[in-house]
Amino acid sequence: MNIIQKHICRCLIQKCNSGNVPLSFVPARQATVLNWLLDKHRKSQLSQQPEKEDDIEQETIMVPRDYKYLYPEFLPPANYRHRDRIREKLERQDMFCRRTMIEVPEFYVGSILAVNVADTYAPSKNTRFVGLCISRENDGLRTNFILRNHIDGNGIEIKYDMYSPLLQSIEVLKLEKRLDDELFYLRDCPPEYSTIQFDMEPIHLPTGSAVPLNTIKVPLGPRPWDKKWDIKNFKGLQPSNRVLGKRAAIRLERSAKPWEEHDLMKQYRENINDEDVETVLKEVVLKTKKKSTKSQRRQ
Amino acid sequence: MTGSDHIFPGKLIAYTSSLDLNLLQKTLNQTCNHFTTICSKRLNIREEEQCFLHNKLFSTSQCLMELRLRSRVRVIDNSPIGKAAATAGKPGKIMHVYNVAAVGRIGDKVMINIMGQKKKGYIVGCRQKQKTNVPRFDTNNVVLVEDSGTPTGTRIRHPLPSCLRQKRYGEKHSGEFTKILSIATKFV
Repeated sequence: MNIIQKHICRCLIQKCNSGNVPLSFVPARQATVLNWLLDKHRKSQLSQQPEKEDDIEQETIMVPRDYKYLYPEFLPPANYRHRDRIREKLERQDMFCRRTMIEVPEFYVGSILAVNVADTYAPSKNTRFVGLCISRENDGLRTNFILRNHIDGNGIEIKYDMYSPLLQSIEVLKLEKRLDDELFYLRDCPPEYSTIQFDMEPIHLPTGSAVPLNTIKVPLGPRPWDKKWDIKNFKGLQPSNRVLGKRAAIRLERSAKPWEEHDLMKQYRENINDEDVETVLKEVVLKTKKKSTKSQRRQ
Repeated sequence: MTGSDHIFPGKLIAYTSSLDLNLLQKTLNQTCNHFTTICSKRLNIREEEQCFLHNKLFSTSQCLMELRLRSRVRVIDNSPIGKAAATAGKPGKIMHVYNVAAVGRIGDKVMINIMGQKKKGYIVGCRQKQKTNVPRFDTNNVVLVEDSGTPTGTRIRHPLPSCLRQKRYGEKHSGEFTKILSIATKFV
């Protein structure tokens, strides 16, 4: 069957079976069990072990506003197709378990971190790396971040899994935000913009202050580059001296996208529903409360 | 497709009310084939143009930056031949990777053509995408080694990946790695 056939068939089957489910939620691959179908089965009383509903939703717990930014990896994926309620819940349990062992601080792309990792072959049994966070992927247990540093003429990047049992500690040396979500363009910038001293002392912010935004504009180095950074409309990059050809100029024009600020549908698709956020964060508040009471008892 | 097999949209809706999916799929097959042939005739799409459209669907993924035959590498020890190559702007080229896959990764042995000479060396640091906790370097770094197994330079002033340390206890080339690691100064 070709694509048109598949699409029409899917639409018709949907309309025949149940009119309640919107078409956009039907996954492209029909071979696997559909998420909404699985959820229906879990909740139905005909199944052998029907799932009990949580009490958390009915409880009145005040969720602090900044929790959405403090615990971004606990939130479900923005794309509805990638969600699975049970899997996410199990993952969250594991994440809470890991958080009792190490302290995971608040940090963003652009902050400077120091990470200690267990290394059996090193004489001190661990290695320390200091670097600028250039990307962060919030994806439940698979949350990871990349640190970049420039040591003795070598640009070095290391990727860390945040909930890996090998991590011994994560320190924030400088809490900051940058203008872009990813700073991979630093690979082709002069090295002074990604050099960080290993013996750097942590800079503490006064309590209650907002996270500072670093509005630095980085110049690009000489070509050749890893990618054509200058036509991708990065906010944290200075415009380059490269003379653009006809096609490159068109690409630069296209990448601007000034209408995206007013694209309500795009914002809706990228953001998570407030109700879903609240149910997850209520759980986080409860767990963190328990943790704090435990620590008080120990004292 | 004969004229008698035609099924029109009106008939299709009648089928949908009864939930016979197999029949529905069959009917859709026929109607869609009919639809595409009509479209191609109306729009005058020639076969050549269809081919052109098809060729446009090639993958444009990022370069893998693998270390293969003739890929260029930087020598990071203080051997005179490595320094001469750096000053002349003629980096060494890989002639052979001692590996079944013929793709060099961290810790693999390679044969290099550097300044017109044949040398052997070990890869210490790749530009390629790495696993977690393994450093990715901005350049492809190599440490030169003589045929006897002793390193050509006397000191390495650049950081080496910490995962190389376990090669000392491996079965292959463990003696040569102990010599390389003993002249290294920094690990990442």
